[in-house]
Amino acid sequence: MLFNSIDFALFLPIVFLLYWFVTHKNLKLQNFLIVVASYVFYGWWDWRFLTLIVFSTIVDFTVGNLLRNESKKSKRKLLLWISIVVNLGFLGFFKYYNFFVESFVDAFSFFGKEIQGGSLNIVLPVGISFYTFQTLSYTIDVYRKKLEPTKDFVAFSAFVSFFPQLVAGPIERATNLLPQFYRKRVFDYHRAVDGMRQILWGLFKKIVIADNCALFANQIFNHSDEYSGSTLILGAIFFSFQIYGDFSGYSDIAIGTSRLFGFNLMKNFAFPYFSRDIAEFWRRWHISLSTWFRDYLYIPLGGSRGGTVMKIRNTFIIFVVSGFWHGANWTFIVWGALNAIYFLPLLLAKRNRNNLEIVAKGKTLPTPREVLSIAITYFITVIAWIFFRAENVGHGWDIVTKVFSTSFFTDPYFDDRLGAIPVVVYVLIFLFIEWIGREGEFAISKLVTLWAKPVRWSFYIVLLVLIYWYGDNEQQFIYFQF
Amino acid sequence: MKTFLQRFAVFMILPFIFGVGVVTYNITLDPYGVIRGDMENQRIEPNQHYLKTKHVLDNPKKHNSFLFGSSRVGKIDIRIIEDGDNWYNMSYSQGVPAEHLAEIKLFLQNNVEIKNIWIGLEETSYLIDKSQHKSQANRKSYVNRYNPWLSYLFIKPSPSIFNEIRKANDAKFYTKYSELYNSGVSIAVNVDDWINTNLDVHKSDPKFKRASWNNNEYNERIDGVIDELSEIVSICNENGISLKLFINPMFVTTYMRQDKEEFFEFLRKLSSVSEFYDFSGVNKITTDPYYYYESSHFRPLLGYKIIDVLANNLNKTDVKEFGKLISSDNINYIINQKDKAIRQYLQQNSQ
Repeated sequence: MLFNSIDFALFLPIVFLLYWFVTHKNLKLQNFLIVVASYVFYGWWDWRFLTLIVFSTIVDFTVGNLLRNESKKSKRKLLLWISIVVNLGFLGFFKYYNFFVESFVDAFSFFGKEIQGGSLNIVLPVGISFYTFQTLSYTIDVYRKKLEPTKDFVAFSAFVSFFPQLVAGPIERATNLLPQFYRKRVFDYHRAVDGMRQILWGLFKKIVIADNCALFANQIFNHSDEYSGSTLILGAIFFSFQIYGDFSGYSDIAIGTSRLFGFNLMKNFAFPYFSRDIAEFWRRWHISLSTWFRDYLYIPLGGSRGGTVMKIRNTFIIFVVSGFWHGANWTFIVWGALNAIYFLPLLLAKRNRNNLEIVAKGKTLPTPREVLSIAITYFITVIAWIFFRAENVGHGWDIVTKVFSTSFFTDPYFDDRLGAIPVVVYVLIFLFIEWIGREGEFAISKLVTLWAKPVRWSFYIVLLVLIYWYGDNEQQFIYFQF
Repeated sequence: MKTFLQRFAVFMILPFIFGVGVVTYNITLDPYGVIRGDMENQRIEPNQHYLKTKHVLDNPKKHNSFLFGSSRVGKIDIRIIEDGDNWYNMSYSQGVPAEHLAEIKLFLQNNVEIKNIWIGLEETSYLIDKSQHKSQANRKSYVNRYNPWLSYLFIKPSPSIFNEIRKANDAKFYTKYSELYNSGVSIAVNVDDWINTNLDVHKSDPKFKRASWNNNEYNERIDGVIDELSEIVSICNENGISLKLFINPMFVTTYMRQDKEEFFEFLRKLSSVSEFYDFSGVNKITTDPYYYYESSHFRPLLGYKIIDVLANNLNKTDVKEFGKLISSDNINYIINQKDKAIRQYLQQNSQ
C-alpha cells in the first residue's frame, strides 16, 4: 500500500480509530492490531512475501531466546550466524542472485571465455533490505548483550513489521523501538498534531517536489545522449530533489504516522543539502542506514582506529557496501566509492567532525564561506547522484564527461522547458522553508507554531491543495526498490 | 483525544466541502465514463482499458475470443468474423502486451473461457511502459471493484476536459462508443462518408506528412515485451487457446519515423517466440492515405483486409507481402526486403 494512495487514506483512519477506541485498554491487543494492520499493509502489495517476514520474525525471535540461556561463546556465535545467514540469505537471493550470476558471466566473457549463466526471473520483495537490517539489529544487540531478548512474540512481530516504516525505513534499532511495544501508549495531543503536520509535509515533499522533479529528471536521463552538459546537470539537479523529496518525504510520513500511534522513530534526514562537507552530508542523509553501518560494520572492522591503510580500507568498505545495499548494480557501487573518495581526505586530515551543528545556527543567513562550502558539497553530491540514477556505469560516465565539457556553458534545452518553471519555483520555496526551519525536527515543526492559527491553517490548506493538485499520479517511492 | 478529533474535524470542514464539490463534479461530468459507465452519450474517449476489462469480468460467458492491441486496432470490426465464436475487441489507447498479459491472466482466473486471441503489435508495443498508464485517467487498468474506480471521484476539475467535451458534443465527426458493451468496436461517425466523397482533400491533408507521435519520448523495452509475449504464448499453449500475433500496417510516415534497427530487432526476437502475420512495410496500402484516418489509425476497410488474412487465410489485396506469415525461417529475408524498401522509399522521396 502506498502512503500517497486513496487506499492508505482509508486504511490509516480505520486503524487509528480501532487502535485508540477499541484496543486501547489492552496492550497486547493493541500490539496485535499493529501486527494485523502491518500484514494487511504489506500484503496489499503482494501477500505471498508475507511469508518471508513471518519466517524472519520466527527465526530471530527463536535465536534471541536461545541466546538468553546460552553462555558458551562458540554457541552464541553460531546462533548469531544462523540469524545472519537466514536474513542475508533471503536478501542475497532475492536482491543479488542475478547480479552475481551476470557479473560472473561478464567477467568470463571479458577474458574470452563464454559461459552460460542461469539468471532467474526473481521479483524483489518490497522493503526486504529495510526489515532485514532491522531484525538483524535485534539479534546482534542481543548477542552483544546490549538488549534483553523479548519473550513477547506479538510485540516482536509488531517491531519487525511495524507498518509505517516497514517498507522504506527509518531502519529502527531494536534498542529504541522494541521497548516502546512493552509500554502502555497514552494518546498525546501535541505528539499527534505534530505527527499530522509531519505527514502533511512528507506528502508535500513526495507529491509536489519529488514527483514533479521526476518528470524532468526522467526525460533528461532517459535521452541523455541528445542533451548538452548544461541540460544534463540540470537533470541531475532535478534528480537530487526527486530523491531527497521522495525518500525524506517517506520518512516524514512514516515518523508522523508512528507519532499518531504513540511511537517515536529515529530521525532519518536532517537537511542534508545544507551540509558544508561530505562528512556532514552523511550525518544528515539516511541517518538510520549510515548509523546502522557505523555500529554493525564500521566499528567492528576497527572504525577510524588503526593506521592510515586501515582507515582507508574501512571507509571504502562501508561506502561501497552502503552503495551495494541500494541495489544490485555497479552504478550503486560506483556511487558509494565516489562518496568514499570525497570523504577520505576529510577523514585523513581529521576534519570529518568539523561541522557537527546545523549551519548558521541561531542566525538568519550563512556566511559567504558557508555558502561556498554548501555549494561545493551539493555539487559533488549531484555528480555522485548521476551514477546513482544512470542505467549503467557507462551511461553515468557519458553524462559526467558531457557535464565537464564546454557544453556545460550552453543554454539548457529540453522538451517542455517552460513547464519546468513552476517546479523550479516549488523547489525554491521548499528550500526556503527548509532553511527557515532547519533547526527543528522537520522543516515546519517549529515554523508553523510561531504563526497565528488562521495563518497556520491557511498554510496547511495550501499544502493540501497542492498535494491534491499533483496527487493523481500515485508514483511509487524510489526506495521501495531497494 | 477528544480535542484532537474535534479540531481535526473543524480543520477538515473546508477540505471536506472542496472534496464534496470535486466528487459531485466528477459524478456529473464523468469524463472517462468510469463512474457511471454510460456509453450512449459518451463523446470523448472513455477509459476503454478499464471499462472493457470490467465488462468481460462482469460477463464471463459473453465472449470467448478477443482482439487485443492499441487504438490502432480499434477499428478492426470483429463483428464480421463468421466463425461461430463470440469476438470482442479489447483494444484501447496505447494498449501494450504487458497489459494484455495481465488481462489474459485475470480473465482466466475469473472463469472467462478463451478460445481465440489475436494481438496487434507495432512500435508502441515496445516503446511504452505500462507503468506510465497508472497516472493517466484515460488508460488506467482495472484492478478491482474499487481500484481505480475511487480515484475517478477525485480527478481534478480541468477546463481543458470541459472544453473537449463541449467541442465533442458539437462536432460533426466523432467516435461512438455505444458498442463498448457488445463488440468493443469504436465507430467513427460521418468520417468515412466524408473521406469517400472528398478523397482528394483527404489525401492531400498535411497531417499525413507528420508521424503520429514523437518516438523520442520513450525508451525501448524490447526484451521486456518479448518476455511478456513469450508468457502469453505459454499461457495460450497451456490453455488450448488459438493465438495469432500480427504487426499492424503502420502509415508510412509513422513507419519511417520509428527507429528502423529497433523495429527489426523486435521482429527478429518476436519470430523466435512465435510465428506472426506482418502487415507492415512500405507498400501501396501503407503509403495511401485512403486507408487511414491520419498517420496513426487505419480505417475499418483496412481492418476487413486484416480479418481476411487472419480469419480466412485470404489476402485479397494486390500487395503480395500483406499479411505474410513470418517465422524464424524467413525472418532474415523479410528484414532484408523491408530494409531495401525503406532505402528505396527514402531515395525516391529525397529527390
